[in-house]
Amino acid sequence: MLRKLLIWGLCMGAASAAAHADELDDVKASLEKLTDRIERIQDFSEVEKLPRYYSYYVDKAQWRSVADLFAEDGTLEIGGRGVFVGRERAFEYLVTGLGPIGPRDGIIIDHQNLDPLTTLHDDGTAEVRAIAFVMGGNGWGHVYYENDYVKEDGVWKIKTLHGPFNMYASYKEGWIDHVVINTYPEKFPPPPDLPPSVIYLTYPSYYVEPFHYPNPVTGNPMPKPDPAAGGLAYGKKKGEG
Amino acid sequence: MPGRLLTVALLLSVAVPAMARANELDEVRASLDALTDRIERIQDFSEVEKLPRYYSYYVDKAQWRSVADLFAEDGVLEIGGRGLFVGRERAFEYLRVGLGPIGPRDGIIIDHQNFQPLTTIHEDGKTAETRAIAFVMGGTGWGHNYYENDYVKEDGVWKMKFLHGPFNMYASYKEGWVDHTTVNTWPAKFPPPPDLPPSVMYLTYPNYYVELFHYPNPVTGRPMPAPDPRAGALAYEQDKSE
Repeated sequence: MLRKLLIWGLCMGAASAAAHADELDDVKASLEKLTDRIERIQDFSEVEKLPRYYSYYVDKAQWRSVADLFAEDGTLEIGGRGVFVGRERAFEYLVTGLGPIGPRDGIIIDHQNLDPLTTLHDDGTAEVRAIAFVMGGNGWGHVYYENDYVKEDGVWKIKTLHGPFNMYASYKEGWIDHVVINTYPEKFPPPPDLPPSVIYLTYPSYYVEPFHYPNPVTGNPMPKPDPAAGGLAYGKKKGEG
Repeated sequence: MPGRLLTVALLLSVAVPAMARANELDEVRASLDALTDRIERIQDFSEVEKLPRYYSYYVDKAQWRSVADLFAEDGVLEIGGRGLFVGRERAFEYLRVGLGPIGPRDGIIIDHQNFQPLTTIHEDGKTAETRAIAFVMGGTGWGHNYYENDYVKEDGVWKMKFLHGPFNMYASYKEGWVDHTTVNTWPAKFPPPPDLPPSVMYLTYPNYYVELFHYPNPVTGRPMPAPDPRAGALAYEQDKSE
């Protein structure tokens, strides 16, 4: 009788331990999932900050600090100047093309960076659509960004800086009376490594930079771009006005 | 004898896994604590990013009491070249005496378009810094200023510790900033007088001033080069090796 009782007790003890072990495993699995989710939230914040770091450095012509935001194989493409491949070529574009490091009297360069729309992918990359409304020297500019970012050794870096301009205009006349056409590879040195990824015209023409994301409510991707008038137009069928 | 053996086996079968479980539970608790801290930081980040927005929306409608109430009791305000106003009530005085009565007025637009917050929550979880911009439509002029603000968490509430807003540019609206700029403000420009002189002397556009960046480069971890004072402004030294 005693022996039976003891065996029964032992079995119950083991069963209870097993149940607890299962529950602990569940808790651990939940914790891992939560840790992943929190990591994603922090990634989101870090990625949203990157265009801001970029703009604050650009405002004061801190070209070395700007270039250092790039991954070693990162690329830069602004306006119609073509693609500069690698961190050091991005630096060359900035320091040779846009002037020496540091701010200068009489020149205001404010890249007012707005409207970040950030998507984190499952593979440790991210994309951001954003705007800069630019006060640059004696002109206005308005540019979208569709940038790619990559996380390397726990640090987010610029993989592709892609900034197609909507509009360049002189400050005094404003964009109704005086616009400046898009830049092109030979407009000023240095030359790019690759031609522009897309040829388009700035305002008063238009260009629609592809949206990197589907509609968040329907999940539908954007309609395929339809090349027209030197630009890419969304959502118009041939012959439509 | 078999009874004793069974008892030992019973004790081992229950006590050893129980000890192992206790260790595992401790690990789980430690993980939970770490996660709770990270979530706290994330929420701190959101709260701190909101503070310059609370500030700007109140300023737009000249809600000076509400603006001042965003400050810690020993908070400090410094805008343009007017010097330092020390303490919440002195910040209130700067606003109400210097900028006019509480409430909006016909014919005056004051829009502080506040954007591009770059926020750092410090390891202590109690202090934070934000760099931000306001592009200002104020009265008959344009203004453009950076903020490098300090925040402090007191009793679970984030408050302004130091509102530091050096202006880049003041200009008239009609002529615009290419043809007509206004020099920086100074302590005696309008009442009330500050408690302390300006923390830095600088000139607005067409001169320039580089407000110190509170953060190192996020990729290289390198701090910004040391500022080089000249021409009444602080200019970052060019990296001579380039």
